[in-house]
Amino acid sequence: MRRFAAVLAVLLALTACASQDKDTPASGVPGESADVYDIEDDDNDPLETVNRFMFAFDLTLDVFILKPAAATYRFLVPAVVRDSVRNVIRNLRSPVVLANDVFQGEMDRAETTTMRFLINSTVGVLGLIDVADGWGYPHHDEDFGQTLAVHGAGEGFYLVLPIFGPSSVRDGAGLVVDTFLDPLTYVGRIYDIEDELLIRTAVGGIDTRSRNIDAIDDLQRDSIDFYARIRSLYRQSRANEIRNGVSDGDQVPGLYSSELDFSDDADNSETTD
Amino acid sequence: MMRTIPRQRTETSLNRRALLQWVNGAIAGVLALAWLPASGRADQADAAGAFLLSLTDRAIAELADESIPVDERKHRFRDLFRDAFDIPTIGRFVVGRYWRSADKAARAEFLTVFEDVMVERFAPQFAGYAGTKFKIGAIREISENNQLIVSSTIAPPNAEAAHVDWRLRSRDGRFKVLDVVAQGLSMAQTLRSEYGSVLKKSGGKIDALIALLRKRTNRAG
Repeated sequence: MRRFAAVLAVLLALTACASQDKDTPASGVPGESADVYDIEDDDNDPLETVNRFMFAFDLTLDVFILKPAAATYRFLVPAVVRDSVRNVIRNLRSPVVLANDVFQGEMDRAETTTMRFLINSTVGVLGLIDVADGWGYPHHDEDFGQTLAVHGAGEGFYLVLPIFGPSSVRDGAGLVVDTFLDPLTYVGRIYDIEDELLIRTAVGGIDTRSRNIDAIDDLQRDSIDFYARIRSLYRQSRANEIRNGVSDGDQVPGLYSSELDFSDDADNSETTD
Repeated sequence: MMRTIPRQRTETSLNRRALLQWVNGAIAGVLALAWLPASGRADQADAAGAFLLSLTDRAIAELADESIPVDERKHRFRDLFRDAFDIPTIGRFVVGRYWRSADKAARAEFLTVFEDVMVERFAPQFAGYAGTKFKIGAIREISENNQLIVSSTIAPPNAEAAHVDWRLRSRDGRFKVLDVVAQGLSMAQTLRSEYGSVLKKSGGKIDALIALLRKRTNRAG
């Protein structure tokens, strides 16, 4: 417990420092005068060597353990049961989602989360059936990394965590805080159940992976730098989650450049300089 | 009550009437001018929506049938991709700053292999897409560069609906797709990050990128 707190303090301090210099550099820089096509995107990945190693490690685990487990799970377990598993896992996560809804001042979403938890835990038979979705309370996720972002924290820098995969200083800190926010952390201690968090994380991981087998295969097939592709996708996906999926039309500022008139550029390359 | 209209007007009142008419005309003209671009823009948004609808209709009509042979499928997708996407612009965006230092031949070669990569990647994607529901949502305009962002929802059968934004540019009355952003994930941005990383590692040599991509398409094809 004390060790956790120490880690948390360090991570938060890192996030605080990092948030001051820059925000997520996920996309082309909308420079005022410079041509965005001349700017190298800032990878914001000072630990790239370590991260690449960790990424390779995670991929190996995926190839030998997670993916086979997920494929077996998808093959053996009927879709209805798999959906119930996901529903239970989502329901168990409700308190964390609720806390973060409130921290972000999203009271409508907090209400949705509360209603979902009440309905699905009772009518939905301990969360097995997502009744609330049909009653106008659709599922959404939140985490403390997003809460930090909503309050202005930058990502710090990109991090690949062992087992958990792509993350950042901010989101890694968020992961730790979410563990503290999770009642399950304390339930296990009271009733002397060990590894309840581990089991939920593992089952959740296998379930999520089983739903992404084809998508990730597609993603990997034509990639020439899978690490860089995932890094970019992770950042964009987080940015989208932080916006709660509301697109602002400004995700790729580079494409708005006034320097865009070069469709026939290949024919008159000499004139571009 | 009837109002009697004077049969004869003095010259001054005639002049005043002419002046009034002129002012009214001028106001109407200014109003018309102010309104014109607005209505033009509304037309453009409608046209953009229509363009996307016809594009997705065509994709489903030509590519959804699962019995189409692989080569024929690629051929059809390539035609569609060339018609609807601004490949040179996307190509230059994904290469980024290294485009400038590449010579004419290398640029052309990159665009060729880039097109091949896109065909390999996306041609198989549409198999079994029959019955996909496609709905157009908000259309926003970015006036500076004649660009529009069309929001849409794509719901394939047996899969969750996805929110997809299309970035279009109109030029000479024709639309071309610049980027597809699915659930907040931009195709152009992702490729730019990946290719940028490869280019950085190879000291900015576009030939190295071309070689890697070529190897990929040969293996896939």
